[in-house]
Amino acid sequence: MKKTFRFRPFLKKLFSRPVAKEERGGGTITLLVVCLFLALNLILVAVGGAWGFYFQITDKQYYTLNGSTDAYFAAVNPNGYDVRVYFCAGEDYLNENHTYGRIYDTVKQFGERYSYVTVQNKDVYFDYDELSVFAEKNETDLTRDSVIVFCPQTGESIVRSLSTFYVYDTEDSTSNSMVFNGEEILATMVDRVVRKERPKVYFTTGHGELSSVAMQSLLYSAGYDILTADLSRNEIEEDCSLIIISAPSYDFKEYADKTVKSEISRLRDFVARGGTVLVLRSPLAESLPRLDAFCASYGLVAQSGGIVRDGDMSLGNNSATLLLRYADGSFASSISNRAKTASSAAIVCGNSSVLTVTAGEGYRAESLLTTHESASLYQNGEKVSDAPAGGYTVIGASEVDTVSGGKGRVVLSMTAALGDTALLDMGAYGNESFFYSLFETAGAAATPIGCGVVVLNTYPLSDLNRSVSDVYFWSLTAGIPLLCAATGFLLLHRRKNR
Amino acid sequence: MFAIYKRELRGFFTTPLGYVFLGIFLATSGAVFCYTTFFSMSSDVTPYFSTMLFCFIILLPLLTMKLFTEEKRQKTEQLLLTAPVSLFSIVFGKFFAAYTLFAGATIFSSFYFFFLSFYGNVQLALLFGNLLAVLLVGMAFIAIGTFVSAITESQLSAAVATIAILLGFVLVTYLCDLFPDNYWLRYVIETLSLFYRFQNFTNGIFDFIALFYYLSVSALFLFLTVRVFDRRRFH
Repeated sequence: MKKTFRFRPFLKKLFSRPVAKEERGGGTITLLVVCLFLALNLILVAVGGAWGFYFQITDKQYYTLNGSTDAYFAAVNPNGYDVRVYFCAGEDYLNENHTYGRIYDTVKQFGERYSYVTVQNKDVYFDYDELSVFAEKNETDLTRDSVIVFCPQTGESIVRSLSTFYVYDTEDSTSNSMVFNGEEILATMVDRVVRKERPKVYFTTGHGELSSVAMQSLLYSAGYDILTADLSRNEIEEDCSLIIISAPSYDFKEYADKTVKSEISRLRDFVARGGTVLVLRSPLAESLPRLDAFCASYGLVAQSGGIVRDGDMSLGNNSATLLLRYADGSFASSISNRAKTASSAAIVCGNSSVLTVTAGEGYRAESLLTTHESASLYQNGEKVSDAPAGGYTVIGASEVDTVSGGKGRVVLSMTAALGDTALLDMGAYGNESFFYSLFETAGAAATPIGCGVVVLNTYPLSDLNRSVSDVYFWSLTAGIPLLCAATGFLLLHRRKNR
Repeated sequence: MFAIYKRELRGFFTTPLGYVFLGIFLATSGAVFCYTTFFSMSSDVTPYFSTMLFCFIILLPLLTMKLFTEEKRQKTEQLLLTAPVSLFSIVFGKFFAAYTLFAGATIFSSFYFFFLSFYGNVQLALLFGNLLAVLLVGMAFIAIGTFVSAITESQLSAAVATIAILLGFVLVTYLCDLFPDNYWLRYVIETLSLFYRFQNFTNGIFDFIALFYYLSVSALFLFLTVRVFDRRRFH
């Protein structure tokens, strides 16, 4: 006789077995149910990753490539090497997450726009043997949130987590806004895998320099290999194209034994052979006579000790910030023309001192970024002077002609904070574009200047002040709970009396 | 089942426990709400619900610790087990009573966003998605608490054990870091993590597999609770 399965008695047996004789098999049924729970969930997650069982609650914000990377790719991949982008998860897994979906969408647009870019979905679990090569090479772990960019011709690969394609927009002090920086990051990843030869930037060490993660990130995006140099011991390498002296606290050394080459001499030799030295001075640092003398010998005279303020051209109510503009010189124009194609001409910086530009033989010094004319200089809290016509110079540059017909440069910034993360991430200002165009003049083959960003998740509140917030706070954390407790007390009391 | 449910729900309000739970829950949710919205100048709903999820680890054991341990303390457990009701009714009745209190408090606290709408744009779709997600996670937490209450002797040990297990469900995600090369193990751990699934809802996605997962976790622990009493009933 055929035995039919009946669902209801089965459930009844599972949940309310009333007889002891079946107790012997109880443990097996429990084990069976636990295994069923595990198996069903594991299968559903696997199936869901492949097909997806979801719907979007909110609208998706898409990003569209606008061709801003065309010139960049033409420069970084002239040979048209193949570039393969592997996502370590299925399409539906990526689309299930708005933020990942946006990255996936952008990469697919890269694939449509540039024929040498191909996009493939892998599964980090099922295709692990194939993908583990990249994990080992990059010494990193792979997860479903990883994306791999690989160039078969060069053999280079990069692994990156999808969550790093977003940064907080620091212009919004509450950090509610996320900026999708995917186009630039993807373009940079392509650059890193197709190009083996890269310009090199050296950060000097040994003078209490500050390391700037944001600046290093910019240099990485600009295609540089980032290294450090101890000028007191070693000559500057031949392959170096840019040296950055980042907010030193101590002065450069000079030796009593004149046969030993000083650090400043090495810098001079480097400039003479066509290198660029970028000096980022902290306005609050002690006087650095030798470094200042080095800059002054190229017509860039630092005026340490004073801080420039501009009530009219500061950021919001933050008087420590200054809005800068490009000066009129030829070098400034070449940089600003390139930078302005991508972003606002206004540049924002933190505390700053000023410098003066002087003419001299053998170099051409000029202002690069200046304050507005509404700025004033303060010393010890007292106003010392108002800005001259054209504003105070905050960053100056000087060019020298080299024997080989090239140009060596010294750039002096009286504000080290210009390269801070907080300022570089401000999408509305041109700090990033300024640095990128400066790096291009200093030997970067190509920079992802002009890549678009999307500002996401802006949920600002308006017409709300602290006292109103406090009223809500006390009402919600004390008022309502106390009301609840009082009601409970009264009800229990009445019940007891009854 | 409805009789047990009514008895249990009334039990919350004839003792101080229900009011204490509501008071602490509303005070906590009020503070979290103000810090994630008014003081952060944001009308984003997600931080409130994500933070509350962690608060549930402490709050929900308060609710579930007495479900069965109280019966043991008052020596009414034998009476309950020999009553002419199925174990299914007893367990589900108690579970739904606790869940009703939790869901009521959660839904009530979601009305705070009404005040927020005077000052900014509250995304209603995201609000409902997140609310549904915390109600699902809460359901799983209460089912776990119900099970722990059935296997422990005192309320204190029930609460501590529930907190430990719920913390385990949080920390299980970090176990992935211990096995960077074992992708299958990581896959299983991610699948079992209660919090991993919650993320989709915060991103504006309604995930049916997560829905099934939370329902199945709840069903599993309620089934285990029934099994515990099934054994106890005949011993």
